[in-house]
Amino acid sequence: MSAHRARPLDPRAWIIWAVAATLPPLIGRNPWPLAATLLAVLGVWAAWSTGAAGARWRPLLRLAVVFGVVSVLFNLLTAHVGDRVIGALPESWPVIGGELTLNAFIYGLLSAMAIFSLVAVSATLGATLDWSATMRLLPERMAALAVAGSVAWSYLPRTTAAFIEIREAQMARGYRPRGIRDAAPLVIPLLAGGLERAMITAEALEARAFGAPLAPELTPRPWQVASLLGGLVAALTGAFCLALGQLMVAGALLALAAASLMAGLFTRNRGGLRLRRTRYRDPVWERAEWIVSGGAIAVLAIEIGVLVLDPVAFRYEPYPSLTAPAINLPLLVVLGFLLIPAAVRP
Amino acid sequence: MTLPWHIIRLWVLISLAALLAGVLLRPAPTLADEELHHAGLVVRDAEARMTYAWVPFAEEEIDGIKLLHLSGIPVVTVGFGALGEGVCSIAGQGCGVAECRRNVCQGSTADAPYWQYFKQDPADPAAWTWQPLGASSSRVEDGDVFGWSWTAGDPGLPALAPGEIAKRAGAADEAVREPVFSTVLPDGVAAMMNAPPPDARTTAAAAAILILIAGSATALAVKRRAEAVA
Repeated sequence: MSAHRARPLDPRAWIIWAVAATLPPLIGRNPWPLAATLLAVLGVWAAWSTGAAGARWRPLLRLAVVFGVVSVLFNLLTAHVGDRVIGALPESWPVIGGELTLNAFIYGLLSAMAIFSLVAVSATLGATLDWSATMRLLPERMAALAVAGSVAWSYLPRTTAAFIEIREAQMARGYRPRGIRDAAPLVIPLLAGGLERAMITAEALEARAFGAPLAPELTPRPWQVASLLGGLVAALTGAFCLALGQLMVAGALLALAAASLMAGLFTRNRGGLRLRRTRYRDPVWERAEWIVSGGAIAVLAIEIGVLVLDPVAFRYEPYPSLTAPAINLPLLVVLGFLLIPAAVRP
Repeated sequence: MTLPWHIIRLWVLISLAALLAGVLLRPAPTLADEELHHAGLVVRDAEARMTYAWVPFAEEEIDGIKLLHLSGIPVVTVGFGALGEGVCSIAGQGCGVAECRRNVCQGSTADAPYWQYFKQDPADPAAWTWQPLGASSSRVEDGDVFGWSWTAGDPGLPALAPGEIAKRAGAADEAVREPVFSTVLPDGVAAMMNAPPPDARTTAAAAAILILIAGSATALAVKRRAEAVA
């Protein structure tokens, strides 16, 4: 008898896991939590990336390795700070001239590790998420936006696959790339194919009434549109303030954004009717989803607690002198629980 | 006729190796035989620790960032392209590189301190003028004195003549050939210390946890892949 085919986990469980896994590389460069997170994420990726979905997202990981190498070189050549000098370039050379330090090399390496972790989380989501189920999580009024986003996202692996096919076809015709000028036989068919796929997708969507005007009784009121726009602007501004470290302003703006979006999305339309999407199959939320989401929420809560009580556990600077990074053993143990999705079987 | 591809590649590799060897083996510049100019530096941190530096340099003029680097005081700066360099930390006071790249250590509130840059008036040592264009754009000449203060307002820099700054920095006279600096601690304030490194037992435990995670990840992935094949 063949083995029982595993169903995909519910997207909500994956999204909670992804939030917990992206926090360490986003908030610091301490190599210990970075390494623990990266190992756990790679374990989950390796366990779930079997089959065609995994193969589609593998080139993205290879690209992340290239970006990582670029990050190390860029930091080494442009950050002339630190106490461990390993060489020097003439001062007269613009931007890269000056001392080359081990400190800059190590910071570049840690940044590369963080970038790779984030890309590995994205690749895992890309290979495992059930996109149609994910789209259904969005409020009804954002269905059009969700379809557009989903189509755009699906173009990434499709373009990668098309690139590989075009390259193989051209090589069968004797094409051998020697430099940047030989890219035309690859880029032009890739662009033409991409435009053709976009046209076909647009026609298919239009044939299914995507983007058609709503019935008057379903049209949102002007204040609902204004509330949605205001909510989106507040969310973007709040995210910007958060990136600048202005926590109070960011918190106020994000709360305002949440209130505005809720008001815009969940109130009734002109005719008192609501858009309602029919479901062919209800989402499944069973023991595996409870275990993955529960574990991820616990990890997230402890990450936030450690960030408040012992921020050095996440942060590390090899400048101006190279010192040993701080270690928080309970945090490392907890980050190991990010491996849970590799252990459960839905 | 075109050169074979592998010969071009070999030539590029040899050129890169020669360039790297030239860079690594380049002798360090020396100030021994040149006529030197001198400039003073006063650094005041949040807890009023004062660091005095007296710095010789061979050029007619240098910029404020180079003066800071030449002084020997531990400094972290980040480059902002044509805008010059921003100062992240001096003598352990300041912010990390990531935050520095975002906002040059300036917090969101009006009273949040950051490294402010001042120049002493040669005629009146008590007068310190804020330098709005930053250290990369300032010109340091013989006898100048510049100040850095971790503050949101008043610099709190002392009224000291250049000779006195050289003395407090530890220079035997104003014509020293090597940079000198010294930190003076106010009463009741300790020196800035790095956190102690984790002990060997903690480091070994952390390494063991990472090995455990890596082992579990490998075992789970192998098991899951075997199930998928079956």
